[in-house]
Formats: sequence, C-alpha cells, structure tokens
Amino acid sequence: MWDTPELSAFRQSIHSFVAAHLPNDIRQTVREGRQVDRERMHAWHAILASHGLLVPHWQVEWGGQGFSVMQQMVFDEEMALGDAPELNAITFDMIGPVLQRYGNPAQQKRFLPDIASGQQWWCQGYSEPNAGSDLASLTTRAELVADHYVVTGSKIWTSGAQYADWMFCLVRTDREARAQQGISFLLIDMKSPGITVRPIVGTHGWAVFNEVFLDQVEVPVSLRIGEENRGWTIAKSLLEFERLKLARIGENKRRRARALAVANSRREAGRPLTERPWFRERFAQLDCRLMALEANAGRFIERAQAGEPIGAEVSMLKLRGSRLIQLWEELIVDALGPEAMPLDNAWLLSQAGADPQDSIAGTASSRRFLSRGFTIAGGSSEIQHNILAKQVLAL
Amino acid sequence: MSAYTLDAQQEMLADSARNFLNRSNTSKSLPHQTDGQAPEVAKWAEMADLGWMALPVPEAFGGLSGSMADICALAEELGREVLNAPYIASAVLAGMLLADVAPQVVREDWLPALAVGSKRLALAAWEPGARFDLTEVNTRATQDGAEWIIDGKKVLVLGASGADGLLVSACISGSKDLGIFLLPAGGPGQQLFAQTLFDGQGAAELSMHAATGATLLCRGERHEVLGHLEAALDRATLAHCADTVGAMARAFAITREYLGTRSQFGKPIAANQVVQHRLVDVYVEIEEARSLMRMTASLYDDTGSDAAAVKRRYVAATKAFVAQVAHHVWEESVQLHGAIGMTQEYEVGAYVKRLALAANLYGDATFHLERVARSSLDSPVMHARKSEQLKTANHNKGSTHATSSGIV
Repeated sequence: MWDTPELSAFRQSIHSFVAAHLPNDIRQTVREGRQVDRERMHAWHAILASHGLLVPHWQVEWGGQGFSVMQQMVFDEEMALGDAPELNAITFDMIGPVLQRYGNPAQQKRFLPDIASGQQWWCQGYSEPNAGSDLASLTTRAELVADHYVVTGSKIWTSGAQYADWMFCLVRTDREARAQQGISFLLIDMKSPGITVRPIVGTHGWAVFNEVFLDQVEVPVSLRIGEENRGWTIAKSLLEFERLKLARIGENKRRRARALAVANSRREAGRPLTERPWFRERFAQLDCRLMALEANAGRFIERAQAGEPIGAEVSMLKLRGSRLIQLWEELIVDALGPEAMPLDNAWLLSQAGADPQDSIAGTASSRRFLSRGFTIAGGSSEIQHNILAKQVLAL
Repeated sequence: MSAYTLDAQQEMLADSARNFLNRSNTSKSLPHQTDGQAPEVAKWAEMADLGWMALPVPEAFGGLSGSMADICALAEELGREVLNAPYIASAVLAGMLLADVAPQVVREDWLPALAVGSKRLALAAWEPGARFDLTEVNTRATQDGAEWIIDGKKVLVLGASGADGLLVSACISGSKDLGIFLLPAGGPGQQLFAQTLFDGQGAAELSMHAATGATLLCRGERHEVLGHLEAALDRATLAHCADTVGAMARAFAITREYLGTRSQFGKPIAANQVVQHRLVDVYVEIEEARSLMRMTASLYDDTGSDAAAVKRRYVAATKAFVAQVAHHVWEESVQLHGAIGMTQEYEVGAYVKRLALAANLYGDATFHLERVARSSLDSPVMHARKSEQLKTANHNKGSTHATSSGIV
C-alpha cells in the first residue's frame, strides 16, 4: 500500500525470489499450516543466506544489507504471501541486533557469522514460573566464582529451547538490589552440563515451548553481554527492536489468504462461501481492520524513516496486529465447520511432500489455539494497555 | 509527501478553522432549530471568506482546486467543534458533483458563485424506503418540448433549506437512461418538508409533482450516471469520516479529562485499571481511524489505471471502520461519564449525538462492509491477481494442472 515505484520493483524482486527458490516441500508444509522441521529450516536458511536475504536488516559489516524499515516490512509480507516459513525472530531479530549493539568485538566475532549463516538457533530465557509479565521479579541466580558464573534456577515458556544451540538469559546477579537493578544478560550454551529441557505440549498439539532447568550451570564471564547488573537495559532495548514488525502485517495477510482459499473451495446452501452473507460481512470486517492496521503502521514507518523516535505509542500496533491474527484464525475455523474438528498430532509434526493438497483443514484448529500466544508473548495485551495508559495517555 | 501528517498549507487551513470556530461557533450551545436550517449556515459568507467554499471548486472557476487531503484536514476541525453547517453536504458533495457532470455554461454560472459562498447547493439522491441505496431511483423526468417535468420523492436532502439549487437524480421517461438535474430552489411543483436531524443538523424531504424549471446536467446509461453519483458520495463520505474523526477525538479528550478530574472512592475515576483499558481501546481505535482516513485521502492524488476501484474500496473500508469506532466512542463517552453523559446541557452530549448520527449517515457499517466484500471477494482485479499467483505456484511445481482445490 505504501509502494513507491522503487519499492514496487523491490517487492517484485522478493516475490520472484520466493517463487523461484523456496523448496516445494517447505512451501507445501507452510501452506498447510504445519511446522517446518529444523533440517528443512536450515536448508531454507542456507538458500536465503546465499542470496544475502537471511539477515538483510543487519549492518552490512555483519552480512546485512541495511534494509530500510519499509523494505523489511515488504520483505516480510512477500515472504508470508509466498508461503515461506516465518523466520525465528529470537535468533535473527533479537540476539543478532543485541550483539551488534551491545556485544564486545570478541562476542560479535564468535557469534554473528554463525547466526548469519542460519545454522545456529537461539532461544530466549526470560520468563520464569513466577515471573511472567512481571519479568523483573525473576529469581534464577548467577554466582560469580573466579572467571565464571554458576547459574541455578528455571525458565519457562522458552520457545524452541528443545532445538536451540544457545540461550540468551536474564539472571539475578545481585539479590540485594531493587528488582530491575541486579539483573545480568548471559549467553548460555544449551549443551552445558546441568541443563535439562522439558518440552511442554500446547493445546495446539505439539511442544512450542519448554521448561528449562539450570542446575549449577557454568557460564564463562566472557559470555556476559554488557556490564554486570545492567542486563535490564539490554532486555528492555531488545523489546524495542523491530517494534514496527509487531504489527505482523505479513502474518495477517498469510492468514487472510488462507481464509480466502478456504472460502473459494467450500459451499453452503448451494453457493460458494464467498457469496454467503455471514462470511462476506466477517471477511470484510477483518479486511477493514487489516487496512486500518496497515495505514496506522504506515504512520510509524514514516516516523522511523524520518529518523524520529516512534515512542511508546507504537504498542498499539502489537495490540491490534496480534488480535487480528486470532480473528482470521477463528474465521478459518468457522468457515471449515466440521472439517476443522479432527486433529492428528503426529500429522501436524510431519512434513508435506511437494504435491499440492488441500490440508488447511487439518491444521486449522491447531493454528487457532497456537495463535493465542500472539496476545500473550512479548508483553501481553494487558501490558500493552498499561503502557498506552501510562506512557501515552498519562492516566 | 506524507499521507499521515498535514503539510504547511493544511496546517494553516486547520489553524484558521480552529480560530474561527473557537471565536464564533455556537453549534454546541444553541437549542435545536426546527426550521431545518442549521444555525451556523448564517455564517456561510464568513466561512467562504476563509476559503472553505473555494477549496473544492476547480481553479478555472475561481476555486482553489483543493485535494481531498486538504478538504479532510478542514473537515476534521469542523467535527472537532461539531460545526452545525452543511459544509460537506453542500460544498463537497453537491458542489463537486456539479463540477463533475454539468455542461460548461452551467459550471460558469454556478461554480464561481459557490466558491465565494453567494450560492449554495444540495443533493437529493436518496429515495424513501431504500436505506442508502443510490440505485433505487423512482423519480421520473419527462421531456415536454424544451422543458423537463419531474415527479418523485427524495429523502434526507442534507442542507436543503435555504439552498439555491437542488441536484436531483431521475429516470428519464421513454428510455433506460438516468439523468442528473438542477432544480432552482422553490420552483413550481416542489415541496420541501424541512427536518431537524437528532444531532441538530438540517435536512428535508423533497416532493416533486410536475416540478418544472429543471436543467439537465448529464444523462447516460444507469451505470454511468450512478458511477458519477457514487464517486461524489464517496468524496463526501470520506470528508464526513474526517469530520467524524475530529468529533471522536474531542469526545475522547472530554471524557478523559472528566475521568481524570472526578473522584470516586477517594481517587480519580481514571485511576481504575478497568477504566484505563477502556480508554486505551477507544484511543487506539480513533488513531487507526485517523490513519486509515488520511491514507484514503492521499489515494485521491493517484491516477493509476485501477485508481477508481481502489478509491471505492478504501472509502468503503474507511467508512465501515469509522462508523463502528464512532459507535464505540459515543457509547463509551456516555457510559464512562455516567448520568451527566446523558444530559443535553453538558458538552459531551453534542458529540454523542453527532457520532451516533455519523455512524449511519452516508451508509452505515453493514452497507459499506458489503461494498468492501464486493471488492475483496468478487472483484475481477482480485481474481486476476489470485490466478496469477496460482500460475506462479504451479509453474514452480513443474505441474501443468491448475489446481482448484483452494491452496493459495
């Protein structure tokens, strides 16, 4: 919608790239809404990396192309519309940029090339059993012994920990200090002795998150990012990375396309679903919300492009974009009716072949339950409300 | 150029509108009129001096050839102060339609007068019992020598009282054509029943029994003439959305201020989280509505090949969205205020009624959602794009079988 001629050409180039290079088995797996396994993700990462498109938003020095915010949004959108899997934000949007901004040269050299190659996976050790939205109350502690920390505690809701090579982790290094003050930011090798990962199966049918137990895990001091007890600043800045992306316009459009595909291939009362009044009204309703979200994101993009601060106000993009995804998923489930009811967990985790088949129905229920996470993770909708109430409306 | 922030000229326009409205607007305090005349219409000439009437008129006829973004910048201020004058209905809707369809001689006669505010028009497009459906035209125009004779009934003619001319859509007897006519106000065979709408603005029902004196502005096949009317109404609808966004923003500001000031249970009402979250919801919706309205206005500078379809889609989406937000805002304005939000004398009351009317005026949410659905689900443009995507995907699979199984 914001396309200039240059941006249109850019969009076309990404569109063609995805059409030409995305392997068909991956495309089909994504189309069906199934989860792409790590092996195939690595293959796709390698293809992207060889075209300079895995971390195009990174600094040039570390293999990026310095994409503008606008280009990033278009890139995400075309990837989603071309049925490419969503890339792991924790790895590429969070720890990568954190290392570029706060890491020392040795840390940057050690990790950034591996991340940029797409063969190293990260997870985020933030939440704990008793520290969810109230992250600063975390209790996992790290004691400094000579040149390493000894870390003990547990993390929960850690997405992808069962596959991750590394975890960036918030730990308490000063128990006397006030909540936010005594926290440090550590990088932990998931193969370290003392780490146990317990996958947690979600209502959607498979394990997206995990509980991670840390029992006297030794972490070299050289793997602390920034100063001791100053980890909160990094954690907070991390929440600010890619805040514009949290509108999730591409992910919304991906689901819009699924809803349309379902409606175009189903009938009710002798008519295609696209002609049924209830479907038309609900689809149009969500389309209006998507157009409003996109227009509103455009306002913030304009600010970002002009180098102006985007401010706490941007929370509204996350608030609305995450909810809208759920509404599309609900529409898909309702449009499918009985077809959306069976759920086969084993099938969900298997990979599609390269042949086209219509299996959106098989994953619709799983996707709808999984999508509840959008309004919980990364600052729940209630937290976003609080941010807007306090920081924007000064209530 | 930014779609979302006003440029210097638009800022000036908005500024002068704010000054004028703060100085002399009585819309909020006057009791409702019953003669169908909006109270502020008396200041039409003053508003024309500020350039408002010239804004929608082409430069060639003494106007300023303002863009839709300019008009919306002004309209937002009018809504913020709930100005009760038919600016959108007369200057934007009827005036711009005349500029679109009238022959040169009529334009020369009318447009310079509209631009300086010495004349005013109104459009009679809707007929009884058909909601906002423009295609329902039972009014007939019959040619008798050089004279046109018009019979029929129109409803909700906004700004009709005191207008100098009325634009009327009619079927042309003896053909399948439609026409748009200009009737001199108060001519033979016309009866105007003035009404005051519940927010205080003036409208009228127009009955024509062998009405004479009409000038034919344009005639053509139904779809062609309806297309002109739809385009004119879409511009007015968009300007009206801007007006509504202004009114919503002020209603929100009044409500927020009140809740921050009034104490209950020993603390300001706004200190309660349940209240804060509801205020945030309203605030976010208003911000989205403004962004969508401004982006749609910026599309009016676009002259691409599918520009007309894109404008139609975006105006419909904007109105559908704004209508629902307006509804939410007025309900919350009443509820969060409590009983005082129900009173005629307290300021927010004027906004509550303006917004309640705005939700339905120029077509309510369901009306415009169906237009969006047509564009999303039926439009040939969308289908072309879809089949193109399928083609790409199939090509990529090395398969020659186009799939209709709905995997897109």
